[in-house]
Amino acid sequence: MNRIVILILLLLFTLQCQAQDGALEEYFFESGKIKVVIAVAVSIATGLFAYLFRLDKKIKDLENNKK
Amino acid sequence: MAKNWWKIVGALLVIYATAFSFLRPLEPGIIQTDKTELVLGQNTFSVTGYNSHFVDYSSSLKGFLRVDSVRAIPITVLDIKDNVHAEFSVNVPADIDKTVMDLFLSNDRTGSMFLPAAFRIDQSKGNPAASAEYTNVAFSSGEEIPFEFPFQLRIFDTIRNLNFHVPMWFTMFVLMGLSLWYSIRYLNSDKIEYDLKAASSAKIALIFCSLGLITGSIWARFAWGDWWTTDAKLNGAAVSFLLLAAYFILRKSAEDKPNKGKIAAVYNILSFFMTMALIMVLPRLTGAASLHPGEDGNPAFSSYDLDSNLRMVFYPACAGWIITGIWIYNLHYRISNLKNTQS
Repeated sequence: MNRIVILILLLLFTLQCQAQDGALEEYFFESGKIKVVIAVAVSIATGLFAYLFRLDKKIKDLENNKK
Repeated sequence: MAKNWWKIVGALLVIYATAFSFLRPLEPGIIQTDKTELVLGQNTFSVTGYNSHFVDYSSSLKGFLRVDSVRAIPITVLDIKDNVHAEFSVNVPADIDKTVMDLFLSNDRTGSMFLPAAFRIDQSKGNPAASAEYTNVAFSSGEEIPFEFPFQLRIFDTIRNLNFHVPMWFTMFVLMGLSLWYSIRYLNSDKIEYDLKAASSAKIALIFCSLGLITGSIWARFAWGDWWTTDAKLNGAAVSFLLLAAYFILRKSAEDKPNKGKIAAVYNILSFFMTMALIMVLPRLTGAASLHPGEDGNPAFSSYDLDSNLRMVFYPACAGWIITGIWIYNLHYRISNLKNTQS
């Protein structure tokens, strides 16, 4: 599970590197760069939810141990 | 329910700060002009504004180029395309003694908007006989809007990130402080409870540290132009991340040793002070090496960097995220405590 997450992150990172010029800049610089703020807020939400899933898994393990 | 009030306060503060960060407008300002070089005599140029209400308040739209603190060259409005695009003309006199000038625009809604060093005058081109009257530099005030984010060049809307990116680091500091406190108490009392608490809060501090690094990286890409810069604070933050991560590697590797808690606690105390030095002290000593605000000896939160309007959202955002961080730490501690008693 963890390995898959890391793999996806690395793949995303290479995508970002490839798209660095032109298109990416155009998209994020539109108007007053508000999309950068959305990207930041979304990454915080994604990070916290990913962590919630891990906590969830830990609790599940504890419950299974009890039985 | 009575015991949970602080969690509700934390959630409400985060919701308030997030909603406010997105809903309130940015102050009007000038994003760019189509040319940066003017010649002597007649010139036309077009301006891209932000929230600048060119059409809505077209009758009061006026502007000038600032030569020095007193003199200004008036500009005339040629054409207003929409609220954020307009064309102007200016007559640059041949006796001009400055080569770099600031652009000022104003109308009754926005007040003075200004683009520093907007134009460079090329004195070798154009009409060498051109003459023009200078006027006085005059600032005007617009309508008072209850809350607006300050307009800063290149930063623009991303100033709102202040309420997302910075609280991540503050939360990390608080959680690391908590971790330090429990490490000291563990060394004093030898109670396993404190060891677990120190490990849990360091774990959540690591998560907020990664969130701070990721959000900072995204912001840097679109404000400074690169995912990672050789900024003293950035590199300090990256090393702190590694220091925190090393704490868990140490705990894992010393698992079967009887005094593993003590080794980890001592390391944790050391790494706390290292982190403080790397993030809070060193970037300030290196002076201009950092792109972060307030890094030349002054704290970042002077009245100059953070106006009183921003504080109304920034402080609740920090408080809310810190409470949320402590809540997550609390959950993690309860889980590891259960795990510990079960095994």
